[in-house]
Amino acid sequence: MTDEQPIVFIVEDDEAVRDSLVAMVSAAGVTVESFASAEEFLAAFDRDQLGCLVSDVRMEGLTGTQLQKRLLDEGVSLPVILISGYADVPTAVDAMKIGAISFLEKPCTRQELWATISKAIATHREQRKQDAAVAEIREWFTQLTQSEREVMARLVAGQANKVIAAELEMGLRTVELRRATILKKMNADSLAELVRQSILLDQFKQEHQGISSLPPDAGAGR
Amino acid sequence: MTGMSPLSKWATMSLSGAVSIMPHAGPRDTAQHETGISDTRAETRRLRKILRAACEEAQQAREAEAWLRSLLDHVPVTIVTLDRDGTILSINRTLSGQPVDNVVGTCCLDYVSEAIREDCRQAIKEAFESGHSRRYECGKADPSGRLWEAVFTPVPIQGTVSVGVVIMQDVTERKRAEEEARDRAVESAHVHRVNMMGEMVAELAHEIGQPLYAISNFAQAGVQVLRSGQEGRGADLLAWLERISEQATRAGDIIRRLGNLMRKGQPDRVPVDLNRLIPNVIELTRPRARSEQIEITFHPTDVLPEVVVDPVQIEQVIVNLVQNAIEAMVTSQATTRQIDVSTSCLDGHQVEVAVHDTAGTLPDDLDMLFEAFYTTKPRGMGMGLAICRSIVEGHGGQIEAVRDTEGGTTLRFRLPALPGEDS
Ligand SMILES: Nc1ncnc2c1ncn2[C@@H]1O[C@H](COP(=O)(O)OP(=O)(O)OP(=O)(O)O)[C@@H](O)[C@H]1O
Ligand SMILES: [Mg+2]
Repeated sequence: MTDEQPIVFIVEDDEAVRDSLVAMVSAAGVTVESFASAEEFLAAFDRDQLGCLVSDVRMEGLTGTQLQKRLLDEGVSLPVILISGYADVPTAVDAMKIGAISFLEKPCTRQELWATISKAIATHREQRKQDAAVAEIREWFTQLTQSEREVMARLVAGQANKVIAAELEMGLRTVELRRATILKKMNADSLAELVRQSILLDQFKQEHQGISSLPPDAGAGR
Repeated sequence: MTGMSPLSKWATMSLSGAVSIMPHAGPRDTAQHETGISDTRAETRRLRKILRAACEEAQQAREAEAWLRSLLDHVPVTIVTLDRDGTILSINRTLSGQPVDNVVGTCCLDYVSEAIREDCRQAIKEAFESGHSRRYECGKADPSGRLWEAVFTPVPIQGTVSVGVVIMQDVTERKRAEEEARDRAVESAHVHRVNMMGEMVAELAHEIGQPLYAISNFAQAGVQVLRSGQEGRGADLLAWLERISEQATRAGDIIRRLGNLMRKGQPDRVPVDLNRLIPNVIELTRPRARSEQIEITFHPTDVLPEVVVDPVQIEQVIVNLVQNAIEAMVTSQATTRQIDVSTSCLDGHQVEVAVHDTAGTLPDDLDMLFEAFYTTKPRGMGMGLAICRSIVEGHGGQIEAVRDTEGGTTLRFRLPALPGEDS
């Protein structure tokens, strides 16, 4: 996955400006796909692609800021770089309020553009790596039985085995066995690792409104 | 005594050359009495009656003459009668202030400057031959620098034209006022034009920025390729250089169009093909229209005669009409947002330009539209259409606003067409 090639998507309604951006990005040796409108882009782009979006702000139809919002609504993590024609502060402020975004003012140097693009791509790569890791943890988590999940919730909340045994009315030995199974199923070699995974998992569940598999009082030790 | 009657009587008298005592006792009257029985008393009564009538008429004639004389003395024009040779028969007052009697009997051509003497002689001759009035300005003729306007009218008397009347008027002040008004109009048109540009400036700045931005990008792409020594990209470099030159032209075109409108100075009339001028103007207004989601389309007619106009002024008229259409559309609820500009040729003599919009927000009192300072807009000056009208009328044309049946608005103006070679 690390050697996946990024693509820079360019959305710009002025043909000359669009072609000139394609030239500038392709001169840096990066693959480019360009679109004349936000609508065209939304209809055609590969949502799993690594890369970033470079878009004009003022366009007929959906504007750059509206496009950014649409991506966010769709849950697409593609980073957005908006290029505005003139000091368009209110638009910039609006865009920054709704999400991670970079702003460039026309005309920009290739160094600026390139620095912004490579930073965006690096962020995206990082983001996708994390997304993949979370997906894996989630996958492992689904392998746990209901009883194992209850034990895990108490383990990561910092309860001692004894306390867990008492709360769940099971033998201490059983708790220890469960603990070993959980660490194995979750590919964790320590409790610390399991805690880290649970944090990612929680985030994951929040973001995707996942099944509330942890009991409501999880972690609330007596 | 009514105003007209003595004058008309005076005319009859002087034209027949003598005061007649007979007109009211016509031939029928006379005949009747000549065949009558001689009756001294009756005869005396009759003669006395005639005499009284004659006296009355002579009195009326005197009054009429006095009336006319004082009229001629006081009218602020110089009235001269001439014969076919240009000899002055009568004059109410001389231009130079010398006594009238010194001038009567001399040739009128002695009083015009050398420069236009032949023209005048010719004009008098032609007027006598054609029997039609001629008007001419003899401003430059007067060494005092005053401007005179003369109307020469040949007067037919008993079938032959042997006398002409020249009415001369000092038009110096009027001309000066007209010139000043024209200068003021040019000035205020320029102010409005600059103001109008202000409305478009944000969009135009963007519009000029685009090609410059593209140029900068293409150039930087080229630098990048050459710096990093990438092989086999000659075709790309060539294409980019071509795009650079194309975009430089694009920016230049916008600036040139703008420069035209910003130009200040005296109007300058040249033959213009409106089918070529209008697209330039539309391009200037398109950015603003686009930012309001309004489409502007030009529909040129196939064959359009040229018009002799000041292109800057006519561009201003069209920009004004299109701006008004855009502004109308912005406040309108209409779902179709379309402006159509079209040209047409009416019976070969007139060229019409129409600006149609789908907003349909024309106010009720159409008469007011073209008045200065009439506006329905919070930030309007109300000068746009007033200036349009003065420009169009200054070119011998007309402008009007009409509501169409589909609820849209058309503002259209007509200009006289330049006659083609074949007509
Ligand atoms: N296309 C149109 N549709 C509807 N109303 C119009 C149209 N054109 C002109 N008008 C009306 O005529 C008025 C006068 O227009 P005019 O161009 O003279 O002045 P203005 O646009 O109000 O101000 P400005 O001096 O800035 O042009 C406008 O305020 C508007 O009410
Ligand atoms: Mg106006």
